[in-house]
Amino acid sequence: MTLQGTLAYLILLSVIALAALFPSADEWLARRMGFVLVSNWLFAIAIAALSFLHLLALVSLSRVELRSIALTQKLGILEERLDRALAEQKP
Amino acid sequence: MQPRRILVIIPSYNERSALPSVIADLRAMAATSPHQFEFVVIDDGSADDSAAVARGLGVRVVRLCSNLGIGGAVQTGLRLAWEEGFDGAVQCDGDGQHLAREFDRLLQRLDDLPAPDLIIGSRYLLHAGFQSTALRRAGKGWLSMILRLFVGLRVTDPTSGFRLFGPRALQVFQGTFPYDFPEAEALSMAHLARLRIVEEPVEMRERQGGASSIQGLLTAYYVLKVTAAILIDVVRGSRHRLSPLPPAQLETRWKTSSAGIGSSPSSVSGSPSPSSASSRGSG
Repeated sequence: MTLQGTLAYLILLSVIALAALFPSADEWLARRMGFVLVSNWLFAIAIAALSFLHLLALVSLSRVELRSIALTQKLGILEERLDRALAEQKP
Repeated sequence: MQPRRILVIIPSYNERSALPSVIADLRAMAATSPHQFEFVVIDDGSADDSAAVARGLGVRVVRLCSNLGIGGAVQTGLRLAWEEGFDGAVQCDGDGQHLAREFDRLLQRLDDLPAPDLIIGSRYLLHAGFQSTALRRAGKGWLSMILRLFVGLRVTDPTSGFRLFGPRALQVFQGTFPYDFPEAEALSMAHLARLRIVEEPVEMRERQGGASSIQGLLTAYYVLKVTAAILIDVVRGSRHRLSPLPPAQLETRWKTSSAGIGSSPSSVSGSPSPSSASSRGSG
């Protein structure tokens, strides 16, 4: 996992810890956001946070895939050049 | 016609049966052409012995250690052409659909003024030869419409893989090229990068071996995916990402990187090997 992902998970866990420590604040926030049940508010927050983290992971995966493609291409080209150079050196 | 140094990129995935005739046709074409050709087979992680067959035929072979798809294979050839200072590159499928005798049609367009950057061989301008299935033609019609409506580009054969990339197109695509189903999306990227795109009527034939990777339901997925990719490109404004060198800078690059046909910035490729020399035309 990247440092960015680790930090995101740490922030999420901190928010959950704060929510557990201050239940009255959760209730106040839930009411303000239009939720009747505090548990629904917490579920909605958790789903949104996990969706965001999943999106970050997908972006990260795409970048890794692009790098992997570029490396595969470069490796193929260098191997071909090496083979040609070796073939030229043969008497 | 000004002689040019052209790299023929032959992407290949399990095409061992078609490769010998494809390369024989290309060599016959190169022998009578004023241009200087080099052929490179990009073996896209084939499960069969396509790479060995191609090596046995004496052409350059770049073997990719994993399957990247047609876009990744073609971009490998474009990178090679760019790094080695070729004047242009022609994509010619390894399944034998593209006829070597049609190369001259594409190459002649390089002498147009202003010179086009991307020349597409279209099978729907002549309506001769293999015209593909009705389902695929419907898909092509849809993609043509999307390109016309959202990109402002009019093309008759958006999925044609028979293309000639000029220097500016090489510069753009060696760095960024779509990997899945790249043909139509590459057109939108080229247009957004302000490349000059033209179509030239060509004849094609049915594939001479292997199997198409786009069959059945995958055709619908292809159309949907490419449509989404084109729309995303338009929204993201590829014109800011893809800015090819202006022609004056490109000319300087060619003069410094390839002092005459046959040399290149790469030390290894600068001196052609016996295998590549044998694949060249008479010049």
